[in-house]
Amino acid sequence: MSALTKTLLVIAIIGAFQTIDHALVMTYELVTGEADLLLYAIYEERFMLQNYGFANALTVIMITLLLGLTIVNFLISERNDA
Amino acid sequence: MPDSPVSSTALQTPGAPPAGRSRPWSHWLVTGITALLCALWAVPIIWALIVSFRPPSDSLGRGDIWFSDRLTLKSSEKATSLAPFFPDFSEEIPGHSYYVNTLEWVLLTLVVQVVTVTLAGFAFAHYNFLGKRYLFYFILMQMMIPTAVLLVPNFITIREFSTATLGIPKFILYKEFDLYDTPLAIALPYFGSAFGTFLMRQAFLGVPRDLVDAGVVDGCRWWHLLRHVYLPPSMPSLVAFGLVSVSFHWNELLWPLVITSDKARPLTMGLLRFTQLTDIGAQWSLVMAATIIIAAPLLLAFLVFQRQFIQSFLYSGMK
Repeated sequence: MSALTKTLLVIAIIGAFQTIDHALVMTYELVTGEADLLLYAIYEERFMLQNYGFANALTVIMITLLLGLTIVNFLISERNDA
Repeated sequence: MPDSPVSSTALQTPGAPPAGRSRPWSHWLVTGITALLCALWAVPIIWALIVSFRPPSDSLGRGDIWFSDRLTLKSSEKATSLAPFFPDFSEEIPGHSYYVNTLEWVLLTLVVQVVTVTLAGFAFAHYNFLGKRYLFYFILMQMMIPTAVLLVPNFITIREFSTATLGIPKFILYKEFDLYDTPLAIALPYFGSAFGTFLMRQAFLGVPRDLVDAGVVDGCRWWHLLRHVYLPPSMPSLVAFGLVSVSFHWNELLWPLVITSDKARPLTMGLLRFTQLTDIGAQWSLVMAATIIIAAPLLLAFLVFQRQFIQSFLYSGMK
């Protein structure tokens, strides 16, 4: 894989973490616990089930995951520069 | 297919052999696959367009979806009567409508972003200051941790921002305010853009240093430099950023969903409202009419500014 492909892969994975629109449109307030996406879970816990603390904890987990991916992305692109 | 003539003319470089038999078979294979992908991509939009012209009672044409002969505007009429897409001009003061709300917050975001992004890009391209490199990495991090993830913290910040919860006494600020459910509230988290800052910094770095130095010698202050030296060659970047920004925010769903309740709902909320109708049986023609109403401005803009759009998306490297 070239450097560009690797970087694009990481960006695509990070983008996939943000996928929520389709799940929201198709299951909006009809189904709970079926669309198991992380961002959807945050929305569901905070705005449907009113679990404030749990939603914030999920946010922290998600930020940690994305930060990890960002660092991986950074390391890949830096290594190819050198 | 729209792009096959373009690709075939693009391949006819002056030195290449004339079109026809000398073309390698792989060229036709690639063109065929492209055409197939184009057709696949086009089917949902064409399907939505056709179904949106069906009457609500007979949305799928009794199985004959493509060639059924009953095409009316009834679905669009019913869709607009069910949800306030357009402002009601028959009233003295037109109430809130999805289109006005969307335009309001998208344009507000765009205007503020253009200012902040230009200034930030200018600072990073022109000046040297302590920790510039790390500050820039810090801003780039926002590209990776998008606004959508900070849904809950952002929501709390804006929900609390009202006279009631901030506890401002009446004698200091008489007018009551509440940020929740306003176009400003939807636009606020997007006022700064890491992606735009990055794009403008790259564009400004492309401006020859000699031009800047000449400007400095002629006694330009920083705003003169920005206005007359940096910005003119960077306009394509700014336009590209504007197009990407508008099309991205037009389709924004999750954040407007949580930060509005009634008055400030944008277009995407209208679509969500129609998908909720499906529990009384799928009202496909209504949903599709609503989809076309929502997507029409962007589709039309894309058809008119096709070249500009493709260039700007290629240029900015976004999907």
